[in-house]
Amino acid sequence: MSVPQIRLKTEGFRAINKANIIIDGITVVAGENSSGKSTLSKLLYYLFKTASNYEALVYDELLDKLRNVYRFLDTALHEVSSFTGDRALRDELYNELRYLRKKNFLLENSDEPQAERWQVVQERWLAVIRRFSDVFNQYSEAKDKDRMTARIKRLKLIAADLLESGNIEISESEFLPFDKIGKFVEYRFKEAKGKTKSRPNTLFIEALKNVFSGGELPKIFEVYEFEDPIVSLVNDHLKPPYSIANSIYIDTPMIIGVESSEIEYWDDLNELLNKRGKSFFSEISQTISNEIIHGDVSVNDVNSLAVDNFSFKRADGSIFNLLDCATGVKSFAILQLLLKNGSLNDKTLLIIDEPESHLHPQWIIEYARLIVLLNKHAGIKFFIASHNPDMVSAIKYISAKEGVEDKLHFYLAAKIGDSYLYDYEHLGTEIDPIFGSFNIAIDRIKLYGV
Amino acid sequence: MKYCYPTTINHSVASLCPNVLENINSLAVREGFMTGAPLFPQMEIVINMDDVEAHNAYLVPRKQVRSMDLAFAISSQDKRTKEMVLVDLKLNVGPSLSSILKDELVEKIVESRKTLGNEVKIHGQYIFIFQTNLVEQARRLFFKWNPRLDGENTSMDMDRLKSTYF
Repeated sequence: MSVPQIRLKTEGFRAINKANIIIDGITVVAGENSSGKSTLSKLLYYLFKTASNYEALVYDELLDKLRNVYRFLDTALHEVSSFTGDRALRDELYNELRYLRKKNFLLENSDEPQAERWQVVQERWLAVIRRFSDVFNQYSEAKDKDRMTARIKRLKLIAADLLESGNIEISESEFLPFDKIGKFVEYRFKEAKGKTKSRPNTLFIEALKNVFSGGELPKIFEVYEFEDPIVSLVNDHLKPPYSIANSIYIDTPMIIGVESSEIEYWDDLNELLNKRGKSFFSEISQTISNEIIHGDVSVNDVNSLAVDNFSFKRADGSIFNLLDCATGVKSFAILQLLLKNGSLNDKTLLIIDEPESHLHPQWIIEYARLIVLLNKHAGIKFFIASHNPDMVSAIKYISAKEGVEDKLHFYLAAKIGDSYLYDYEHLGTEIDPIFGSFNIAIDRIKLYGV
Repeated sequence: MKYCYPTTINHSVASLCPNVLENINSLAVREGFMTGAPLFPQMEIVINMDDVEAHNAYLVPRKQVRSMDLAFAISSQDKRTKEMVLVDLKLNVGPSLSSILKDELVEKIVESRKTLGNEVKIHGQYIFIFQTNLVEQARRLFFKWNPRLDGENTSMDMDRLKSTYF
């Protein structure tokens, strides 16, 4: 057997007693409800989301920590407006401030080496603070001294509050402590840069604690890439994986168009669906359009007059709001949108819970075929949880026909005695034990039926 | 009920057609069963239903129809209840079950029932033998074809055939 690209070993977490899951091509897990399949999906999603986007997540965390600095500067900007009529100055400061909060600010400098791009962003923050400092120093001799003094006092108290979190004090006699705020920003940047170098797994652990209520962590959680350990909860380190650069989690097609949810992976997916980009696998997208849904899905131009984001243009030319279309169409639409905007490639792990949901049996087979074709031609890796015999057998036999069966791994969650715990048994390419589990349903019909 | 040698060899079909009685091991191996030692050390004798059909078609003459592969008798412990079990060996099927057609299976059952007649009651379950890694998939397939309770078609592997009827 060849060395697996990714192997996830976890024990003692929720319903999972033991799981040792290989992700090489298409991995399919089957098992009863509450056997831990979705837990595995979420573990994988947040692992790769964290490990692959580490720098961006550290930057998000930094922005959060600098939130109060931003609010201080925003408040200061309002004061600038009140004592100067210089519109150009206000606009300049406003634009600078807005720029600092841009989430992809760091990525805009992605051509630079990591250390340099952090330096560029840090310099920008410090330059804005210096600019504010200059402006306030210039206007400190304002005509209306009394009003000015009261406002400066308020700003000083806000500054003192934000600096307190960095244990920095300001004296009574001090004017606005822009230099100390600069030092505070520098310190936070230093802290973040250090994190991107040492890559502690705290970000992943925090993500798990947020997703799984109760804050418990797996007793064992280890990830290997080509059998080299890259992640472990014991060793405080999160190496960047080579085989997987982005993970996408789809647990329901109903997610499409949901504007804002409490569920992070829904928001992540919707953000991706709205992305514009270039597809490299248009043939597979054509297969979806021509052979399955008989139409084409697209994201409306932001400048268009369309009220809704997504359109479905049927083969006969009729155009519908995708949100009004059948749920089955949405299932394929998600795949097509991700393909069209270049979100899927050979470094993608696509995690899908029960892809068969909402699909007619014929479309279940078509969906399975797409999974196999996307793996074969685009190299996309899949982690699928399924309850459906047709989905399982179609993935197996279509993979065999397409010559990708060697990268196929089936698992069955086997209950341990009368407990609520499950061991994930690796079946290789065999599916009959999964059918044995599905066939319990036939026995139940016999038991309860006439 | 378990295998009954005298009822099997004395069935009129076996008496009327020459050379249709055969050791189950050799028939199974010919149909694709791979084994080191013979699975049935007692070399139980069964009726080769394909040979019976070939013989009957030759006599009429007519075109051969499909038939189950083998039949044997089972009886209760007190020997008062006797039935004929019809078995078809699907050991060469694979990798998927896509080559199995419902109409063909129905034809096999219908024609083999006609051949055996009413002399001994025909067992309510028609047995289809698969390699072990296809048994559950076949069970699901049969249920999809005919989603009735206690469906007549039963899938099992050779080991289960032996433990159930021998």
